[in-house]
Amino acid sequence: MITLHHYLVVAALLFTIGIVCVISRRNAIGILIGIELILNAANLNLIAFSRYFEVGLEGQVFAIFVIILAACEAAIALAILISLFASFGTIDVDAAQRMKR
Amino acid sequence: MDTQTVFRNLQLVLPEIVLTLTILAIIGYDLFLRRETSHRTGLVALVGLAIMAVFLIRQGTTPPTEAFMQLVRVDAFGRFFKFLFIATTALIVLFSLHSREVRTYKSGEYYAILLTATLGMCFLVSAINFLMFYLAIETVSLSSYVLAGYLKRDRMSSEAALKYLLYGAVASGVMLFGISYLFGITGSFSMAAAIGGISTQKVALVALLFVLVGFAFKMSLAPFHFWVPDVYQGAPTPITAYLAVASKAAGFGALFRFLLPLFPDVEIGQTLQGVIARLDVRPLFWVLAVVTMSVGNLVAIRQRDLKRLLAYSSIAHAGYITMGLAVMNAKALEAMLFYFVAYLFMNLGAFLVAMILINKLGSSLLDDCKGLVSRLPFLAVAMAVFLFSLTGMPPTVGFIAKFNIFYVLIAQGTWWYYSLALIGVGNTVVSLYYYMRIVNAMVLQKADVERPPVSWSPADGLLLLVLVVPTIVLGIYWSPLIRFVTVALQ
Repeated sequence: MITLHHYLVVAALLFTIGIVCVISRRNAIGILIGIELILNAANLNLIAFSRYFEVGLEGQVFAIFVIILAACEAAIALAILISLFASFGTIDVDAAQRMKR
Repeated sequence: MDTQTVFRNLQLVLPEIVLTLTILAIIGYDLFLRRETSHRTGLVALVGLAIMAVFLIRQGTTPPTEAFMQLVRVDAFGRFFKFLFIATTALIVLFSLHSREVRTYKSGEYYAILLTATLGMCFLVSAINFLMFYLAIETVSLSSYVLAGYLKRDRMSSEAALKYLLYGAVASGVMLFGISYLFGITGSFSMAAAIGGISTQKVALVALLFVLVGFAFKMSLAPFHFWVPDVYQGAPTPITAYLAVASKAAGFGALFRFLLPLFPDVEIGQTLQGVIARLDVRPLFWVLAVVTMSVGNLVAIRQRDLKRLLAYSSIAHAGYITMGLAVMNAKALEAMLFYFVAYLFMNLGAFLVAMILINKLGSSLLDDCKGLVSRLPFLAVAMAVFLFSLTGMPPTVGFIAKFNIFYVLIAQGTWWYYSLALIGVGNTVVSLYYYMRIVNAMVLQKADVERPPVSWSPADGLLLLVLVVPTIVLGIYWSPLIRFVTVALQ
């Protein structure tokens, strides 16, 4: 029997993996994938809560909006990465450090 | 919803509809323009903003209403921020029309995206539901990422966009995760219900912290300020000014809206009935305020680039404003709203000076500002006025704004708030040092090498005057501004 807790644990794990991915990856695409994991962890939470508490479809609707926005974000991120690649010749985030700390 | 309700609701968002139509008009008009003439779309943007302001003023008499099935709330509080956004955006459009950085690119999309960000902000400050809130904050963020990287052939601009995007996306992801827990706890996306849930269930405090990450990122509160210096330095200067003023105000506005049920003596936005179990988040903001202003001011001392220095100074100002949240009552809210108006004039002014410097000299390094007073006297004097105001010296509007905040702190009458006020004063002294360093470089020091004189255009002077005059006049005669602020709280 799969209960709400199972979903919550999986979502929490996904979230943690996403954060670790964001922190440890140096390739910008890798970081973007980490961000996608974080967003999908939230989606899983939303849908699980909505399903088990039977509060209508609010959670599912929110999740659809999140998916759409994640797509927008990916499109913009890739555009920015292309412009970054054009000026730096790499998408390694450590290489793109022209401004002094 | 039947058709009649839809039409009634649409009437409530008429200003936003005007803005949307303006964006479409800009995109359409841009199709017929070449690069050299594409700045004309900026004029369309100005006209659209003016019409929007008219609609917003006409809306002034409508009582507070919740529209679109409790997604947004149209009231005087939101209108205050919308006026702020319109004023800022109009000024930024004027800056951009005058900026050499922006003019080298085709600028139709630039103005369309700029207004899209403004549209997002307008919805952000009126959102009372997390769905609307999330959509609005993403509209603002996504547009800002693009704007920060608008100078495609400039390496620093690309780098700024990348950093802003990555940090911003993580912050909004963490916030979304928090929202999903709040949904699980309260069973709805209503922000008031979330505050109610947090007040009764201590577990929800964790979720609240997650959500606050998103807010703190937008408001550039430490420890979520690390993106600010890089993004502010690399982005086109008008966009830097826009992020520093409008984006920050939007973050604060949304946070105020979220926390309003916790303000004991503020009556607006109380959609929450019965649940007045007071949750005390004031110590959290006490700490955030202290850390933010100290970090901003102390790191600013070492900066050699004007834009980067102003970035740290804007972090410090976010800290000063947060001091009001540590008090959390109606007087504090008034003082914070007042601060935003003051901050608009003085900070936009300082960034305008940076922009003119970049236009004329091609650099914003402090070393290049040496001896500026002999080459561009009016610019140096205007900068001095803005910096005095940012420090908080009379007779400028910055003094009144800071005085209001400190007055609210002292009025609380406990050592807890006295110490916060003391730290604030200490920070002001530190800020005096680095602000005066700029004045010192401009006025007292001589240029290392002889430089050619710089031409001065009337447009520069006119733009500076538009910001210098209110900075001084509102510092002497500030009661209209107080009235403007109190209307927002009715």
